[in-house]
Amino acid sequence: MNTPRAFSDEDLTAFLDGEADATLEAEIVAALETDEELGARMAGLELPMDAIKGAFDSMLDTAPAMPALPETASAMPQPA
Amino acid sequence: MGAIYPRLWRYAVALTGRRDWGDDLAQTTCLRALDKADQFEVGTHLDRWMFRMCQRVWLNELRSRKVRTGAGVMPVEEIDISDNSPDTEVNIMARQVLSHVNALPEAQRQSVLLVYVEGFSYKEAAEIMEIPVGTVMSRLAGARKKLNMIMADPAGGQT
Repeated sequence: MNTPRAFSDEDLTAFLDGEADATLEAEIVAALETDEELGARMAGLELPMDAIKGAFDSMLDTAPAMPALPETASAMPQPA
Repeated sequence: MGAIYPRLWRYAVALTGRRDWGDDLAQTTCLRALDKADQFEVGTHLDRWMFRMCQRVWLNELRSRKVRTGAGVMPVEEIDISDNSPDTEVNIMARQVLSHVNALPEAQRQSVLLVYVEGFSYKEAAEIMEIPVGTVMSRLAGARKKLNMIMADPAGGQT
């Protein structure tokens, strides 16, 4: 039997995010060679990541100042 | 904590969907973090710990609002995520992107911020949101589908 495997949107998302395991990744890469519909579905999940990241990063400059904290602030752990 | 604050605030805005609520939430989270500072395990990541706390504070807040008002949470229609910076082309585009993301359901918005903006792995994001990895994946798949539909502009929008 050589039925093409059905991929879920979650599978394709994981693939696009570099989070698919090796097996899934290989299966999707192979399927993309022949399956045009799969390519179209993949395109339907793509996002302008740089624009999204950039837009959110521009928010950082507009963040309010951290409020003054009570005395115990010195006990606060430092970033790892 | 000061170094993390802008990122914590941005996360709080993404969670609540509103800048003013984000201001309050980030502030409350800091106070809570001070309170619980002895529970922080040295050598672990302070940002993730605070993000997790931020969500807990928010969920509690939602619960108590529900009790107080006897109603569900108000839908976040207000697109209030970007500020009144000058109308340069870059700012206009950034604001558009932010309002598209802000229009997503809260859980998707939060996941997009953690994975696509903060760059956390699925596993890390799952730990921060205290949900299974599979749920992160389906939230992101849903977010991708919706955002793609809105943002994929045949006239050559933002790419």
